Amino acid sequence: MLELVELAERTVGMLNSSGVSEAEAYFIETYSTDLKYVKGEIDVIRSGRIILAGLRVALGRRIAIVGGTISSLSDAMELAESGIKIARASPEDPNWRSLPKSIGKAPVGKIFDERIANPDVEWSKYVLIESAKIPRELSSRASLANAGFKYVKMKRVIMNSYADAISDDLTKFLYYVEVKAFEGGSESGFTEFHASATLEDFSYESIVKKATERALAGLRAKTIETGEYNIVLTPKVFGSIAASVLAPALYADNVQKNRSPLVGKIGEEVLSNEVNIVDDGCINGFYSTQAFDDEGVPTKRKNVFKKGVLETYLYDNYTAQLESRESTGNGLRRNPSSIPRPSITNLLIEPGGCDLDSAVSDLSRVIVVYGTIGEWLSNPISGLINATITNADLIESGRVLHGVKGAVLAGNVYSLLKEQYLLTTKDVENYFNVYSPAIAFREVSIAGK
Amino acid sequence: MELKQEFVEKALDKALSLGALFAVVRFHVNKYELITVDSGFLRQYSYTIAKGMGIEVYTSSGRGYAYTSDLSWESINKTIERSISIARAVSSKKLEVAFGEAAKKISFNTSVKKDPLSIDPHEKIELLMDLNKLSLSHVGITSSITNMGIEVDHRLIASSDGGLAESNIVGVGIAHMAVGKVGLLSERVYDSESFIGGYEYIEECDWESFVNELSKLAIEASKAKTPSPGAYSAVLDNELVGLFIHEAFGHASEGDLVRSGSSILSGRLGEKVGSEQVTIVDEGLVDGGYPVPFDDECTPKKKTIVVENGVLKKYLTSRIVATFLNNELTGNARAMNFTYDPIVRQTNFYIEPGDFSLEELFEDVDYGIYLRGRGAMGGQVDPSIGTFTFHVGPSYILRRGEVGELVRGVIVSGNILDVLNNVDAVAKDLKIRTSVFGGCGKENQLVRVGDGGPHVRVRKIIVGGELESARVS
Repeated sequence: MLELVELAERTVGMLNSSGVSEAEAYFIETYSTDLKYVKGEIDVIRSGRIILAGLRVALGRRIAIVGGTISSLSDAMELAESGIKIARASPEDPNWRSLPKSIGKAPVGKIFDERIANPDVEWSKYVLIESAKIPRELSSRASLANAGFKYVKMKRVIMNSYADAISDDLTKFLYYVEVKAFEGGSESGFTEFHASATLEDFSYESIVKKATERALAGLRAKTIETGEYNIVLTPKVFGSIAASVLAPALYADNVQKNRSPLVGKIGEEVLSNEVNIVDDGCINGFYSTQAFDDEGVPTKRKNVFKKGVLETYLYDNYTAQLESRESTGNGLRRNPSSIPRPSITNLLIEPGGCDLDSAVSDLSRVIVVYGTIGEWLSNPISGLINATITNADLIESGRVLHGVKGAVLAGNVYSLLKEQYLLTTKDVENYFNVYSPAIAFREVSIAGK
Repeated sequence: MELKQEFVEKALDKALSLGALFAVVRFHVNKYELITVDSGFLRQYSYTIAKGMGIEVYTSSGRGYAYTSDLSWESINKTIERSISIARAVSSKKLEVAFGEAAKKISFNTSVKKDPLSIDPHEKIELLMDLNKLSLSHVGITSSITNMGIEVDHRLIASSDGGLAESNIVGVGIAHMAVGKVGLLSERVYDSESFIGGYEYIEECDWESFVNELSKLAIEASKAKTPSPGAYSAVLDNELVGLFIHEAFGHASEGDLVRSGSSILSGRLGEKVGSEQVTIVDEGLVDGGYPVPFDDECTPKKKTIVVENGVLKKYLTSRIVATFLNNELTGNARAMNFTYDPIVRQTNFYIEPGDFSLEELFEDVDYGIYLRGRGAMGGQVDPSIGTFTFHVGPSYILRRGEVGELVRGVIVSGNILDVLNNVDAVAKDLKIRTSVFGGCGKENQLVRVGDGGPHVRVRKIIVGGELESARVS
């Protein structure tokens, strides 16, 4: 089996010599190791290696994308031939200009951790067994139901007809726990996770402790009356909402196709002037930091909302060329054989100055939301959010009255971040590639009893 | 034959010779073609082929799974060695494998008159371009996306207890999303129709009506208000019942969640979990659904009665889960592709039809809501506490048994056991469907499923609307 760089060079060379006008080859080699713990013991260890390819072929303005698993040069050549065949059959895309004319790498910090690339299985087993002890130590009502590790090492290579191959090496890490709590006939559960590019700052104890505390709090949960409440969305909850509703509205393809409420709003104060949001693909050590996007364009830092004012949409090469501008380095692929589309790299919501406890005590009556389901079903075209609360506390004058469950939170993300915005806290957590503080909002509609 | 049968026996022998007590080897080739026309332009014509093998081994120390995309014997050999070495690293306290009736020499092939991958790409593109432009021709439609999906899935599975099974499943479908805008309000409506079979199904379906109906619904929904939040009596249509029963109850019946204590159904076999109207089954081969004649551990998939007249009868199991729960094997161990070990998944999960006519379901509702699946964006459940939420398609207010005005942005939420206990009528009109565009996601694995059911009436379900200013009261 050839090295990835040589594979890319041979594939683009073959396509160029076959008479195509442009060709792009993207290869990813992935090694992964997973450990899964279920109720008292390690359930399974999974490990493997896979090479995936994505080829883009242009015959003038006729474009094809092909992809798949690769185990030899001949697999890549077969894919290339399929690409030529499909491109010949495709109608012209009048919006097509070209593949990126130059590719390169942005300076990035640490995005590779040898401890993830070559995971220590014995240490992982030790952590999982120790994780199981923590809920019991905190309460006899709590126990660890599920836990696991995922270690991924990736090598990416991209080249096209205009530029030589570039490559990078990345690692990704995931640790998750699900804690259950039982009391009498009542039961509750909470899942917490840590996702990162390196093992720096990883502490399993605090993750299990939080999951246990929230599972125990869920035992006291009650339904509440339908009405309007002040709420605080904790970092991962708001991170998930931002990824589902806010991020797609920033993508230039959705803007250009009238599928975003942010159409025509560059320069307008869309959010509260206290809200700053950045997309940064080259920030040191963050979850989705990488030297170049999936088209080979160097990643960079962009102010998306500065003091509430919308400064830019996010562009890949195709959507940028439609507006005669440069890609913002946001051309990402769902998988190697998908077309690149604008997507967030790391979305950073600027934190405020207070901690969660003081924010809560400043609000006379507030619901602090720790867990939701269904927030990803919200509508990015309208900005409307719906999420069902699965874990929350109702707090009055700084005192927890009881947990909240089974209520539906509804609102519009732009109204929440402007008219209903109260404050952000100083502590940031990441929901994969969205880094957010906790955010407080006023008078949010909650459907309960 | 793309998959190498001669490697199967060799691979099992190798695993057993290295100390495996039991092994399942799986070769998998998946071909997927996706054509996307976005607002009048061909945006994507992509073709993906993924092939590889995975091996699951049970040793006296534990269970391991290893995979490779390199199908040379040298690579397969190394993969088997790795599976044994990681299984030995597990060091579990107890490991037994459940043996049932292995799938022996089963061969399942979809009946295909016209190979969809061989159809001239021009023909497929032209159809999608015409449909997409038809949608855009509706006044009020601002954007539309039309997709064609074609999937050919080929699996060859063998187990060391004598199982050998092979399937070739071909599916085709068209999906469409219309975005309507009336004044300042935008609404999207998405739906798809898929068929297990060849391109003849694409040729026979009335796609123009499909696109016209979706486009009109998107425009009407853009004019509609949202319902007042609160508790409603509701009638759920076939599509929504399928989504509901799969998400809200099906996941909780999966034995791996029961084993870990992560399901609200843990320890409740034999208990009443719904009204007597409710019987729920999981079945591998059913009209309209996705065919699963055997699972990815080489166990035949038969009809499993999960709930009978409201009483919980069985959980869905894989070999490891059946061992721990001391339950029978139900043939529900499924994997998205060769890079994943099989976990417990539903196949075609549905509510059995009852005796009521649709009119009888409506006539007893004084004020309520007719919840529709078309345009629904999906749902999610927290199986550990039974809380669910669904984004329902544009729906209708019910007044004195009559279907009233359209409402949009409808979210329903509740507890699965409360809702199943509140089912007071089940209609006769069973419908089951599948999709080549999506499926069920769990632990990052997406598998094709079928779901559906008859219309069902529920006496109380929580509805969450969106904006106070746009409510119907």
